Amino acid sequence: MKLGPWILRRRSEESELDEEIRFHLSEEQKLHTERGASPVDARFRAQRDFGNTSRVKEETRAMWSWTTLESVMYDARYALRQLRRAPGFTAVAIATLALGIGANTAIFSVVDAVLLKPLPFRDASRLVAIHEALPEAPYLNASWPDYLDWRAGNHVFEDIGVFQPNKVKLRQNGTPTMVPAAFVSSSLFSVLGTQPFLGRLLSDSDDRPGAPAVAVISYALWQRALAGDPNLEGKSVEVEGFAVNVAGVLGPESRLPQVDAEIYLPLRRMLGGSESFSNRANHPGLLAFARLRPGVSVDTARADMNAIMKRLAEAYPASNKNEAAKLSPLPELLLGAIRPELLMLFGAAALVLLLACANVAHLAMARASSRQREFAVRASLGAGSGRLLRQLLTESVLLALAGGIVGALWANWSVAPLVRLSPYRAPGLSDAHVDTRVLLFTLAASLAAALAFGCAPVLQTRFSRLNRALREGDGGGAGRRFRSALFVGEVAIALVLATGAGLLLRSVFGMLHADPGFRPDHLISFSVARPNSDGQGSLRYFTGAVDLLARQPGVVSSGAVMCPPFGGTCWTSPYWRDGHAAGGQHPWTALNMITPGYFNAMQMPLLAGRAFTSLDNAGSRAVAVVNQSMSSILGPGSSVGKLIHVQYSAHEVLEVVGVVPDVPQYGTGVFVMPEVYVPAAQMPVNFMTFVVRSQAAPGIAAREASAALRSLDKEQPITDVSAFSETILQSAGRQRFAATLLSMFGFVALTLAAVGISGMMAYTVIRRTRELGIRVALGARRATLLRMVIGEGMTLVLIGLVLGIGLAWMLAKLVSNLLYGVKPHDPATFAAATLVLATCAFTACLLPAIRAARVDPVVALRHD
Amino acid sequence: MSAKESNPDRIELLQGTLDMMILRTLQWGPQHGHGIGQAIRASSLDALQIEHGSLYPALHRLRKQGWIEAEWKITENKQRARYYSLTARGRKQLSAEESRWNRMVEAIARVMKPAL
Repeated sequence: MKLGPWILRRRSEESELDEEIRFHLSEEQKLHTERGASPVDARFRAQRDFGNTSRVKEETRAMWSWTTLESVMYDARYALRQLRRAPGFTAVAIATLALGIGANTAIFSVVDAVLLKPLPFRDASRLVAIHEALPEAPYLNASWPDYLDWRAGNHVFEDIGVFQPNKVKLRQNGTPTMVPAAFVSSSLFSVLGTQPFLGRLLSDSDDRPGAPAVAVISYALWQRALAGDPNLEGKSVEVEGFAVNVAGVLGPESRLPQVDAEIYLPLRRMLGGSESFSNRANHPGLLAFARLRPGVSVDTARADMNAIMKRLAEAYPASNKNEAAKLSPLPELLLGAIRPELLMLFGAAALVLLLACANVAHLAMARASSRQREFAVRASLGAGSGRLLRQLLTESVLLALAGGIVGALWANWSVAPLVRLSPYRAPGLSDAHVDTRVLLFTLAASLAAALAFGCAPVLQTRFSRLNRALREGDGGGAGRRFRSALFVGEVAIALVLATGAGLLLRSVFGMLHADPGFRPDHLISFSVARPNSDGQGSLRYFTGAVDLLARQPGVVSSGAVMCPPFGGTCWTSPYWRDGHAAGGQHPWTALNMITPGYFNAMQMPLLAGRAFTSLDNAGSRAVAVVNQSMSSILGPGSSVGKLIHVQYSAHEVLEVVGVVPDVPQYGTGVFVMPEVYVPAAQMPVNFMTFVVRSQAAPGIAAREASAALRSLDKEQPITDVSAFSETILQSAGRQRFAATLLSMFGFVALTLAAVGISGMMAYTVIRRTRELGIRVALGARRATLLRMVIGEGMTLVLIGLVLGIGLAWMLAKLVSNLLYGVKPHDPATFAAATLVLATCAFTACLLPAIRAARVDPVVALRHD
Repeated sequence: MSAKESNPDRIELLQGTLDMMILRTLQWGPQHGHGIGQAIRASSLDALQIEHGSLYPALHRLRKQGWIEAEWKITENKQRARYYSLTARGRKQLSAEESRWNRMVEAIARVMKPAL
């Protein structure tokens, strides 16, 4: 309904009715005059016979359907006046609500972007990820020959696509840089439902050996490298020194599951000839995704894939015996881990809002009982109780809306830092912001809050009306019980949040202070890939570079490793101890290549044996250093001197010469794989990460190191520059995110609860001034009064604490996935949270209690 | 209010009968609010002294039901007044109410004055 015409129509109705009544009265008056009445008498009689004009108007107006809205507007105007007359109450209430609503809005904008918005793939619910598994290796990427057999033999998928996440050297504005790339099968984009923004996507013909080199690039790279030129005709980018034609551009929202890529290249053309693709036992980092045919369930697809894998196991027992294909629905894969954590934080925010509502309810009730007179006057002037109730609710809604607006503004500011702090790599996260959907949520939250705290004074009014007969000075027993219940709830909620925050803070502290097996301070790392050089060439480069870096000013030591700690495992392989028969199934180990100085640079202490030296080279006996996990698997006694076979290493058999501590491969608190280190000189690789221990600050050290490397090869880009202290911090990212939010919520909850208890006690003391005065007059000692008031407050606190401990005990399992080094029901954390809360509550009780003890009987008895 | 006190012989209207009487009055042609009141008073020989004010909510109610329609016209005394007239639906409603009323009066009469 448009407001303009509505108001005009409303006005004319109003004036027409006026005119009609005026006409009636004048006619009637005329009638009486004709019968001989005096003009004054005639007017009086006309009016008398007509009845109450304003009531008639009121009744008539009630027939017009929009009067509800009108009276709402009237209520709103009245409420605004009331609120303006109590600026202190209004400000505190709005600020409190803004805290609660703002926290919920900010979290909701993240929840909305991550969990509620559809994934950026067409019909994502029909997409599944496929990985392989062996009894000893629960997660293996797809093998290329297996993928081809799946694609040919299945009856359940529209199609299957694979890609290999990779990095390529791209020349941008003359400088070679490494950019994230994906080598994709030509089927991948159609499986994901990706549409080109410009040009075309990759086709089967692009994948044929000998076809002209083409690429599809991301929107961002198109903007950077081609300045967003929509004409792609003859446009190319330089990849690894070759000109590659740009066939198409993806839209800004398009992406691959799990991986970010800037450039997409045809998979077979890039890697098709390599041994790693023809060997069925090899799993060359291929991520596989399939689209279910319409109506096919994941379970049906699983059964079909199991049948295929069984056939493959019979046909190729050497590689495929006991091998399984695992299907995970894409939404589950992308959001499964995040959902419970985000919902937990969302729940915590909701608790904060609940607390805020309880506090405002306290305020509103205190205010309502001092407004009894106003209500009584309005009631005697004819306002129905429904009308009064609506009036109170209108005030609440206005307050909540104001709180919602302030909260939304606050949330708008805090979403960006929140997303920056967030460790999640969910598809929609970077786009999180306060939009219409989020604002609708804010509106809903505000109205829910208004209902929650707006009903409190109404309930209290009900109670006190019942109690009016009793004429007790103190708002009535039922009203007080209601307030007490609210208050107990507040303490319980605050304790739940404080306990959650405590558990997570302890986890973060534990993770940051856990011994990683090396010394992370003053240690930087950066990666270099030499895709075009052979083994010996790479080895020469990396050995030379490590020596060069070691000679830089400030550098204490340097080394290089294929796969640094916290970087995952780049290479895994089946292994067996010498003497145990080859063939059959074997457990898997991580395999890592290092330069001789690596352990020294990392300051990983040798637990047994020796580190590698430059004498362990291509010509000497094949040696290995194992981590502690592997050492304990190898059995009792020193591992030094034992012989192991690692299938994918360059040598038949390796002699263990040393043992080093476990370092976290995936992150603190994550399972550590057995690991075998071999000298890079005996198994050269063309991709390594340098580690440099320097006295200089990380930023300066990194700059100097990259300058030194440029002097060796100015065309060589370096990537992933990071300081290990920072890496460790990031590895605790999920915990830090949850801990930060829960601490903030916990702090707010604690403050609100303290303010709440203090306010309630103060209010109670004021209402009981008379009683206290009598007690003093009758000889009660002030210490007794102090004890009495504090005792009353603390009894409620105690009930709240017991309730809170119970609640926290039940809810602790929600955070158990995030905990490190602390049990969900850690008694120390529970005790600490309880103590903090009890102390705060006691302090909050103290001030009103002191005021109670200072009551002057003379003044108190005159009170009221 | 005051009118009721001044004349004890006046009869309180049954719920809904005012609406019926308005429709009945309009049967003879368009009339304004005051005229309707006068007509009811006159035809009931002043026994039914309705409070004039209550006419107007009733008129609005009937208009909302679509049984009467309103139009501003100039009276014989050159004054603007809102004239109400029956619609087709109003006519149908009136006859329905009349037969219902008759049935009710008969029923009440049988109760109050049982045939001897």
